[in-house]
Amino acid sequence: MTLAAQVVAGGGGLVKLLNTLWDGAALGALYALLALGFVLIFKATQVINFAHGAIASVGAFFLATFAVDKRIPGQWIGGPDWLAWSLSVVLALLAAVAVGLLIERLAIRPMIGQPLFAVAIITLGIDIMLRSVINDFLGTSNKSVGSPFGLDVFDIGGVRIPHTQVASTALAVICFVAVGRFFKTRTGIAMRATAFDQEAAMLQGVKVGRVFATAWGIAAALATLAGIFAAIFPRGSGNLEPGTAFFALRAFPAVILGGLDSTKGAIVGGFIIGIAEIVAAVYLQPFSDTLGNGFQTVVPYLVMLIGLLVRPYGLYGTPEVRRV
Amino acid sequence: MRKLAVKAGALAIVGALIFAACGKSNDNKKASKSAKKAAAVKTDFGATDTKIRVGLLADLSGPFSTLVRDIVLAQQVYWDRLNKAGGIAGRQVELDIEDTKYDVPTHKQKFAAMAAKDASGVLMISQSTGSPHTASIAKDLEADNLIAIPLTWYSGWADPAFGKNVFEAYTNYCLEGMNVTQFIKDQGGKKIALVTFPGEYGQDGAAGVKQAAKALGLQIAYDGEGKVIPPSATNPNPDVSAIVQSIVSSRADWVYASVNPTTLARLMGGAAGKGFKGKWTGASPSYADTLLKSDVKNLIDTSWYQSQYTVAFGTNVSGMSTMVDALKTDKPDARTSDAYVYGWTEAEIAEAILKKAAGDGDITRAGVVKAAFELDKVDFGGLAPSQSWKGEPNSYIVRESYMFKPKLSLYKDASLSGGGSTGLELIKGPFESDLAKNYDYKGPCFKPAA
Amino acid sequence: MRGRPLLFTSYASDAGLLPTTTKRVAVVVLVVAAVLAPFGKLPLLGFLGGAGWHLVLAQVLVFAIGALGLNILTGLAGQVSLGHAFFMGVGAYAGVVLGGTSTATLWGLGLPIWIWIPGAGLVAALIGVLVSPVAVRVRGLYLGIVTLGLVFLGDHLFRNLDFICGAPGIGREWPKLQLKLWKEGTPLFDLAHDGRWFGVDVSGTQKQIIFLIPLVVLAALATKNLTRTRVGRALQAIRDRDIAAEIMGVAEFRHKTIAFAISSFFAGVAGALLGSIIGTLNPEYWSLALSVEFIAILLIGGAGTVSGTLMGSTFVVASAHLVEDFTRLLARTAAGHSPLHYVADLIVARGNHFGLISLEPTGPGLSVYQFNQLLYGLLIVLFLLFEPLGLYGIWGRVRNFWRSWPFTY
Repeated sequence: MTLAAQVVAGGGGLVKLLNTLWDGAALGALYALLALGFVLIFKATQVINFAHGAIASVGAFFLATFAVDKRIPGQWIGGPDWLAWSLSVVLALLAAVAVGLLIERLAIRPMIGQPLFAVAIITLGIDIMLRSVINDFLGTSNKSVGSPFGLDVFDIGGVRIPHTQVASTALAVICFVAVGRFFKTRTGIAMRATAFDQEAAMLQGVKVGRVFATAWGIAAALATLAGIFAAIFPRGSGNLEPGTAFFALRAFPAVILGGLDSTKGAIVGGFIIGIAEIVAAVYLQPFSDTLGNGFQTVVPYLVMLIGLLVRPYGLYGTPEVRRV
Repeated sequence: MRKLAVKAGALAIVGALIFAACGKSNDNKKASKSAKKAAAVKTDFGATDTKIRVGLLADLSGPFSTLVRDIVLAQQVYWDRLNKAGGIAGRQVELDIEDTKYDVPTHKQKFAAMAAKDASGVLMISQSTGSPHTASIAKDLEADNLIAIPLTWYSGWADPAFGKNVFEAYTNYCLEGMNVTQFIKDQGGKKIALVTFPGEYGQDGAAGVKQAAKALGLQIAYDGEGKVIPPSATNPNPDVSAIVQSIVSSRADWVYASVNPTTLARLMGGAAGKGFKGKWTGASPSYADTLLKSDVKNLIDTSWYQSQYTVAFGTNVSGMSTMVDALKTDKPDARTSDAYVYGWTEAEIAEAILKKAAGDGDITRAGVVKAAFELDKVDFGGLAPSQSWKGEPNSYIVRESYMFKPKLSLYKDASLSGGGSTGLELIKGPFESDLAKNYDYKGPCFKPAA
Repeated sequence: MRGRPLLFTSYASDAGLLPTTTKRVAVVVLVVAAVLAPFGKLPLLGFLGGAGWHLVLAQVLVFAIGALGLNILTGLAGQVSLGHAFFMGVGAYAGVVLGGTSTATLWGLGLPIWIWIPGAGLVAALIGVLVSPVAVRVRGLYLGIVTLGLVFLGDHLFRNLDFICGAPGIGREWPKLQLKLWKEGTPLFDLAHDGRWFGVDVSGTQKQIIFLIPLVVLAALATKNLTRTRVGRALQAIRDRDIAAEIMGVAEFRHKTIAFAISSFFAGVAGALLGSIIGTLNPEYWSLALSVEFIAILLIGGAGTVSGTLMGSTFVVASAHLVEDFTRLLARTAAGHSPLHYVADLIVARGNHFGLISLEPTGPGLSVYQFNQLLYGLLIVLFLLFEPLGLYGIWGRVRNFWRSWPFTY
């Protein structure tokens, strides 16, 4: 038997493997959502957005406020819990989009033409600012996000699939398809043109500023979705934590593995990294004494490094054309 | 024009910052009036004729800020009331609250400022957040004749070789582990799954649980000591599925967890999702009342048993009404939290020490240290087990803890004036297990590699 | 020539380290000021003599050494690195293994200071060389993320290698700054404890500050010298146009490796010194936030320049404390009776009365502790928005203004 088969058979069989793969795919969907947001921003504005996690946290905070604190629109609508919650999610997404647009307008637009490294560090500064504001508002009472899914799981012959993971993966796939469709619309084509060559796009009449704003807005919405599902069971406790903002950093390897400027790469990279992390966590557990506790944290970066050695620009990234 | 405005603005900000820092030192040179009563007591640093300074090295913007802010609030209310009632030795107590950001270098810097040998220093430190942080100043405390009350319950603080001037409050993780294991046995438990973070918090408790399990004949069905990965900035949602799997397949009927609330929620939820029906308990910091709002609130209601070092907010003991009334009057809009008990009792300890030193006529730093070591038992009115630090550690360490049951029906997420409640109902306590009672303290249960 | 500072009459004087008299005088003045500052003898800045500021000053100096290393890598060679905290950690732990005491559970060789400080740097440099085969083949932001991965790898290693790093959450003690010839009992020079120098009482931290000043000067001069050597010019060529440089004969990979090695050396030394001065550090200290702090120092100060790096280090490390003092001043003004009382009252929240910033941990308004963090992030953003050249850029504008005054247009 091959080594892989031995590991599978020795380690609890098919059920365990399926559980692991599903868990990895669900985590990968979240990573892919975050990676897609990063890549959208990078493609359109050439900026690595270190504030992505903070925006996700802000969006989740809005959801906590809308869904639980103020019960908008829950207090006006009867019906099942999940309906009111979904509407609150929509409102939170809109609020997050507004935040994304604001950041783009105030901090990114003025930096057109400046070195990319400087803009990336500006996003780091924004990340620090947003996190400190959120921690202050959060700090006095860890807010609940009001998830209507609870702890329910589907049990298919021993394979446990939590309802939240079904919802998050389904939403993620819908987003991927939607973004793919988006790139065929006029605005989407304008964004691809801007990503390719800003000046030429401007000459063609594309409003580059509006493209930037669109990219940041969509990315903020994607980040918020990921942030919400990172905060609830099984990835989180159901309450917002200061740690929600750092979750987006975990998607960096996915972005690099897939290629900084490729949306397809972001999605593929996200799933690869997610599955790799969970498989390592479960199947390398017996080796944790030698490898060290928490080895799965490093696995995404190792996968990324191996990917970079094989393809220095990521799996689907376009190699840079450099002029001397 | 815009560039000029920006330049001017920048210069103004820089100037203001420097001016501000100068302002601080000038303030220290202000003349102070002397009171005749006050002049009868010896002072050196940290106390003048009109005021006494007490320091708090608090994490107010880092990972434990939620908890520590409540503790600091309770201390502020306490000292305010004490000042209104006349203060100590005719002096008003002024709090020097410093934010350490849970960063060891910052903790040391703020400590160095507090240890200054002039009136801007402090007389004692009534709160020091963090184990590595308190460890980093442990030797300096001795050198500077200061005492500090830590916000960590590692069993090593009672050991004079490790933390002579660190005045630990309440019991420690190790003895708590023994008490809780006894409780598990009394509830009919037979197999324990042990899951903890690595490091002194998790492994000190694990040491206690293992000793107790062996003595009481309980089986450790899964030994996950140090195996749970603590969340951090690099890894905010570490994967727990392997641990959950181990818990479930161990078929334990009780789980002892020394983790943090988020991780606890994920462990409990994950295990329940796999059909685990056992009960859960663990070290006190593993739980926070915010879990009664989270996705696992029903699980907490049915299966979690909370160990506490002090009583919970609202428990019916004699000292509770004073505290609750004071807080409700002074800070009606603050949230309801069990952490107030920590702050209140810390302040009571500090008051007792300072009053004794003043009574002995010596509120120099050395005098305060001496008074602390000679203090008879501090009585908290039932808020926590009474304690002192007189004599050998084995004779004075606190061995009692409490068991509470969180109940969703009792929980109300509201402010103090809104009648909020943290939802904890007292089951048992203060109680000490036989093992804890007879434990011969010779040093920390868990010796870190230091 | 007097009155004509920019007139150089020989190549040697043009290429000199400190070519103008002004620069030489400035260096001397700065060194003297740095020596006087911890004793509170500086005019206007007397508060620096307070005990709470000594550790801050020491940290400023240690971070300056580390930042000079990052300056070589990022400012001079143009390689974006977010992994500086990793190299500092490696150096710190190399230092503690070389110089620390061994126990049943910890490694330590107990070697004297003149071995463990350079040793820390050398081990870090070696790790830098080991990392470079991957690092030199990627560019720009890809390199930034790869170095970020190093920080995460470091985080994992430091938490798990208990026999080197101490238990997670507790850490271990670093060897003290004491000069011994070999492992004897009493050191020749003891910089860790209080004492008396030339009849003046000095505390341990003040001694350490005095010890650090020549190290910083050495590091600064070494960096400045590097820019005018062959290697330095090669690094700058790579930063500006690496393909053109390669065509001209500059071996790109080799020079990038050299840059990594030198930068890691500085980082390692800085890490070991930091550990020794603070005493104990827990393994979680070497985090991404630390790397970001160094990037902030570089960018706020002015990437690529030595004086900018020094200014940036002072500013970033001290600003948190200055902001706290500023808000305390606001609180005092709000409680007082001066004319500014009304303005301050608006800003600071007292008791239950509203204000933007609150000194209470809870209560209305943003807490001052979060406000400090907010200001830190805001400073980074504002500096890069308005002055991409950082403090050095501002200094440059001021200097150019006065240089050509009154013809400043």
